[in-house]
Amino acid sequence: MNSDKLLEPVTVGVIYEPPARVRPAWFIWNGRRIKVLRNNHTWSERKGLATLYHFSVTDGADTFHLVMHSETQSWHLQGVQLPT
Amino acid sequence: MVMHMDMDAFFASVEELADPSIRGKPLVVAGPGQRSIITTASYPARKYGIRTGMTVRQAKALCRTVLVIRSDYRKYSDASRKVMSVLESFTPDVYAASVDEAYLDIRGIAGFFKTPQHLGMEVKERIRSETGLTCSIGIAENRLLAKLASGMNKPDGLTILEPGNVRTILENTPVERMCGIGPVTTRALHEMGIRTCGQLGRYPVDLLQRRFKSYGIKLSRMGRGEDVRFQGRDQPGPSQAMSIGHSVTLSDDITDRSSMGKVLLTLAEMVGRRVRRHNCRGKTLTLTWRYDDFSTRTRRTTLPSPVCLTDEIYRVSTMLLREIEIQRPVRLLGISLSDLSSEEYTASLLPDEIRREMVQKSLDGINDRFGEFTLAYGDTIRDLRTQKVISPSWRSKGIKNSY
Repeated sequence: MNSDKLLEPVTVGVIYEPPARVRPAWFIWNGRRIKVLRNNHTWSERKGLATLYHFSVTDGADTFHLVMHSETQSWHLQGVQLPT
Repeated sequence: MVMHMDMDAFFASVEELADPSIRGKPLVVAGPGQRSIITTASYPARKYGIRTGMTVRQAKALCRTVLVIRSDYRKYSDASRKVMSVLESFTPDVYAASVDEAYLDIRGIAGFFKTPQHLGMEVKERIRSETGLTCSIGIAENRLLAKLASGMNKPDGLTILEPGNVRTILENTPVERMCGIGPVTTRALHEMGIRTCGQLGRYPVDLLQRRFKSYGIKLSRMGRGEDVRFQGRDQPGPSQAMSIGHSVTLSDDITDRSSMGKVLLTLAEMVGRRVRRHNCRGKTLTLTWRYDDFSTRTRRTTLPSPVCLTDEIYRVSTMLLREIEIQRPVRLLGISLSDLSSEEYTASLLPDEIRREMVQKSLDGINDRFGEFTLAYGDTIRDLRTQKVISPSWRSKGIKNSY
């Protein structure tokens, strides 16, 4: 996923699972509620004291790159990958 | 006994995890821009002859439909940390050789498994279940042979070289398959009529010495499958000689020294931050530059006392830059600090130095809190601050061993 320039705040519905896992279930983008069908991959990076959690998720058609900021608990949509 | 673990097409496989729609397609991972070098080619791309080190343009000439993915170091470093963490759950004796390969001294744990084969399968399965990635594993009596073995059945392979079979296998193994024998040495060996490890091991040592000096003795031993380096727990610890460095391929070739100076300031900050984070200082500074014809030059200096502050690293690197004659446009610049020591820091009594150190400490504190380059020298180059390229030699522990 290379659409790094996109950085839109999004509303995300999240499921917290034991033992301290977080999983985006849906998010709203451009007024559309997108249901997360599958979490492809998760990775994290440090930014100062904060951790950015990256999620590559799919609604079954497109792949979305969501990012959660650990300190602000805010979510951003960083990229959208249309099917190749 | 040593295990060598090598991830299969690592960067490409991580990208496939993040975007399953590209799985199985010919794809390469490269830095930004057409000038970038390919750091990984997926196995379908390799079928077209695409290899690591080629430019994107060369890859596209071989396969018009190849997908070019811009490398994202955040994904790879995270995946690397997870893989190394799985390995460390088997044994503490893990030596990360690069971002995607590691050696494990398995002498202490082999007895807990029925056979080395069972241990290898268990490691592979744990890596697959915890990261979704595959790797190839080689197990042998030393590091050199373990590395050779891991490359024999890629991808997703497991090869065990029993001591009794080593001689037979080496007899027909091409010399270039051996780790440490590069293209230049291979050419020279071919000129001498040596094409296989078996031939290399039998060749008179004095003739090899005449051609390769002291390296000739090592080559002879390598031909017989003897590892002259690390064999297990004798790996160096973090306090021993290592280096910390950064290099960058520039978006355009440059010839003027003032532009080079700005790049060096950015690199000095990146190197300085890492050195200070590891609580060490370096006494030898190496400046690396690569011309547009891909020839690479280095110039190094050993300082009277070790350095770690950004402005000290910058001052020494620009001093080296002034000493060199720039013969062609430069496409890559790099700085590394070696001869590292973690000796207790002795505070300076000079007011100027105290002030500089206090400023540096404040800068580091802010960047620790809010992220790299939140506060930076005005002349640092914005494009380089957020590096999108990870060096294949990156390690999860952040320090490079000397060999």
